[in-house]
Amino acid sequence: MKEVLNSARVRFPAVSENESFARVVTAGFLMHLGVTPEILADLKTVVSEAVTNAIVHGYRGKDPKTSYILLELKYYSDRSLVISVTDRGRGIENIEKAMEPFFTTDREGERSGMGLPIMQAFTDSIRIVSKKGGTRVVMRKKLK
Amino acid sequence: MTWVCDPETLFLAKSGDEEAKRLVVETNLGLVKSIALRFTGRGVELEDLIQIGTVGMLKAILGFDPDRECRFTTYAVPLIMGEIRRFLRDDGWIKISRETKTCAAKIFRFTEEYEKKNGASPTMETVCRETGLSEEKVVLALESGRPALSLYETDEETGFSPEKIIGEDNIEKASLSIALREVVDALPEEERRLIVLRYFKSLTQEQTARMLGMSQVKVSREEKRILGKLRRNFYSDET
Repeated sequence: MKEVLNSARVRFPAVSENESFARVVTAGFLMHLGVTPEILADLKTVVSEAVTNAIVHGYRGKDPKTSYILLELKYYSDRSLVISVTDRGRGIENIEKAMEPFFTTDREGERSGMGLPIMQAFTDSIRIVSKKGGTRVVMRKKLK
Repeated sequence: MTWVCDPETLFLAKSGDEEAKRLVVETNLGLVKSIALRFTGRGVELEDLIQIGTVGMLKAILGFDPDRECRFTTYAVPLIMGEIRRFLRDDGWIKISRETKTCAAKIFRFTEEYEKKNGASPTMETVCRETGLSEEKVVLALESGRPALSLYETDEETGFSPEKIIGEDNIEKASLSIALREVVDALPEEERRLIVLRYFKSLTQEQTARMLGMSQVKVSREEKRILGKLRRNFYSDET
């Protein structure tokens, strides 16, 4: 029977400065868990990607200051980690398509469409629930 | 906007005429300001940047040779920019982040040596203990060492920066990032993917290697090669 050894919930507005903030929060959470710099970099990256997606896609056209993103981190006694990023934005129309490398609905911007493939590559599993009222991405990683 | 500087006034200014110097500086303040505006957002106030830029302007006045076929402003712009850049390197928030960058380098060095000795990566607890750096410092140092696609950032690992590809003199072109993006988009798929992951997604070489299904060594080699290609393509677009 596994139990939660540590957890954190951070809620912040969808401004781009908070991408780095979310990464630092994640790093801080992981520092005590016996992770290597590579795993740390991977998990920071997946959090960045999820948060960026929420900012750029989820809340596109909305005022970032009043649009919130929720980052949740949970660490269990079996060394597994669950990271969730939730937004209340527009939702993903076609999740399967979104997973294709380089597919992006971001017409004008800097985005490369690699967000979800990266998130998948650096975690053990990723589950996405998305409706018109928002998106929740749940990622799992078993630490060694 | 035109920046006025007639040869006579300029000559007088060079010879040390204070009135002429003041006139040249004043009429060209707009130029200094427009250059200074490009360096805002780095922790130094615009007023300070303008003052520093004016020093560059004065140096330009002293050094300019009106007999050469070059307009004064063409001569002055690099000097103004150089003066501001030098200041930002030695002062401003670059100094604060210098400590962080030293920490990042220390962490990186330790991690490399540890891996060589032990054949495996250290845990973050080990990194903190052995480098003597606090957790907070380590977290922040690792975050700061991450290259964004800022044209001025240098990647900790490879020592490359887009600024170095393009060349410092061309970096102030307004359309630069668009041109860069175009040249990157024109690359063959495999190569574009690597550059996108490394410089737009800021992944480490190791992460990029895993995403592309190649060894880190190959990523390193390919990255150098493709950056060289980007440089050549970028310049050939210019002519």
